[in-house]
Amino acid sequence: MGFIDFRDVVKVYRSGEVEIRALDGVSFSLEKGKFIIICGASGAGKSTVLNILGGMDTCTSGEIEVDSSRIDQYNAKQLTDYRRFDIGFVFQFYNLVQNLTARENVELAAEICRDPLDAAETLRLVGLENRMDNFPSQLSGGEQQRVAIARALAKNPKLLLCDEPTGALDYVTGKQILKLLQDMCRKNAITVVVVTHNLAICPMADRVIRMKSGRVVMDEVNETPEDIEHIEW
Amino acid sequence: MSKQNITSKEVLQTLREHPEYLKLFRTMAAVDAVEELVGEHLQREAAVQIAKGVMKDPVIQLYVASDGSIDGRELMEFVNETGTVSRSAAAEQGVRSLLDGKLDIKTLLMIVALMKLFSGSNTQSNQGGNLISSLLGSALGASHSGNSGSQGLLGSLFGAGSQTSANTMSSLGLLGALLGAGMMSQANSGSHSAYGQSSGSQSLLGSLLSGAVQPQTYQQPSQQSLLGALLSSASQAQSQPVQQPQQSALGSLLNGSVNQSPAQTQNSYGMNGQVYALDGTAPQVLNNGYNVNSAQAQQIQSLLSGSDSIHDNGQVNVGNLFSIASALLGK
Repeated sequence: MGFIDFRDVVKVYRSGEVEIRALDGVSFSLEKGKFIIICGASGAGKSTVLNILGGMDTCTSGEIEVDSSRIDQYNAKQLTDYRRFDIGFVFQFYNLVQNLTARENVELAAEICRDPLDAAETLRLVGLENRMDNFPSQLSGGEQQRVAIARALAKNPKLLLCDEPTGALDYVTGKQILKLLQDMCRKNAITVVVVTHNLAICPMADRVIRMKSGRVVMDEVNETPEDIEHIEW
Repeated sequence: MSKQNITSKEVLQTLREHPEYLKLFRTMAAVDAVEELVGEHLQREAAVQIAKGVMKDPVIQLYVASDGSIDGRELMEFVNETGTVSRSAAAEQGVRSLLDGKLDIKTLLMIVALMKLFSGSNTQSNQGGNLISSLLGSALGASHSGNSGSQGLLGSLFGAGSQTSANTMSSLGLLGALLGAGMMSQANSGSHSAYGQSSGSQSLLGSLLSGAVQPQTYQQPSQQSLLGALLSSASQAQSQPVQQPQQSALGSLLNGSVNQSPAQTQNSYGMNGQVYALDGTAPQVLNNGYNVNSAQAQQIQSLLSGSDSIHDNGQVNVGNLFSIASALLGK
């Protein structure tokens, strides 16, 4: 049994008479402290996996276990707590409050967690020690994404879930962000799950799960993950 | 919803009525979320404009920025008919509802703090400061900053009237007083610096929420918060001796085990008699014998109303304290 277990998970969306099986019997088991990439084309189901894993959506059937808790059995309140205490999210769009400074944006999320990390320290961790008092509009896209990552990390989550975290960034900045995520995983033993359509970055992961049409079509362990700095695309 | 010429106001109304759609705004770009919500007939440019309008809404901002920590439905229940959180009866009702168990205390604190922020507090001039500390500081530090217009968190939400005297925070809500006590206790000496200073790596609110502040800590003569003053008063056996049950009740509050009576009816989240802890730990962990029951609630009220330590100079809104105490105790 892994840190995360998906067992025959199905997600069906219904729109009138139409039924869409976004996930069609997805199963995998992930270890703690690893850097995992879930990749696939648009519509493959990877974001659905992430949303269900992050407690933002529920599955139609199947079992999902995270750190020995069956999150598929959680009610709405439990899912909110799960998102609050256990999960850090990083999305393509940074979702920062524009009239709060970088530090305040991080504090906002951290204040309601059980054992939050210090906001300033977390911002230092992502290389923004000199930008703490800047507002989002005063930061570049990469810096804003770093704030978003710091916000997620400050919650001291069990799991960091990233949905196309470099999607809105240029190549160089995107690599910097991926390196940051990789470093967080390596140095702080945080389990990081990145969803991406960019197959080129798969070599940096400890584990790669490729999806297609709601199914896992490849699941492989990478014994020698590469440093993102050595990957070009 | 699917029609042309839709406005951001209508989208916001839809989100209030159907908060399940809120998550679209977390997981995708706002413009994509609008298109998803409105339908495919909307022109991209129109969707962009609508999205801008939607994202200007502080409630939506709060939801999006909370990083999944706030349930959309709970948040929308907090918002009144006009889509804003105002200092109104509706807001008070909302707070009562929240305190009644539909939303835990931490979330409430954060929401109230943010609402204060969004309603135009001095964030822009707060560079370098600790968000929550500064928010609380503006509420608690009236006597220090000379900001006579500042109010306690709940006090401001409740629309409490004009502010306190120079050396009292007694018009703050009970929760504000609790926080005030926490802040003062962190300062230990030189209380002026407490508001913007985080002792160690913890913010003030964080330390309070994490249970770092113990009841004994409050029993310092220098404390100016209501509850601190009450406790000081109790320890000094002034006009109103504090009996054991009262101490238990206060201890319970201070320990963060703000409980609801077991007799309370099940709320919409199935949290029958749920214990909401300031530090977020599980109810059974916190349930340390300091549970507050109705009798104790009355005792707290009695304590609040009877203590000479409240600087009741005519500006104290004791009614607010009663309301808050009642709400805290699920009455």
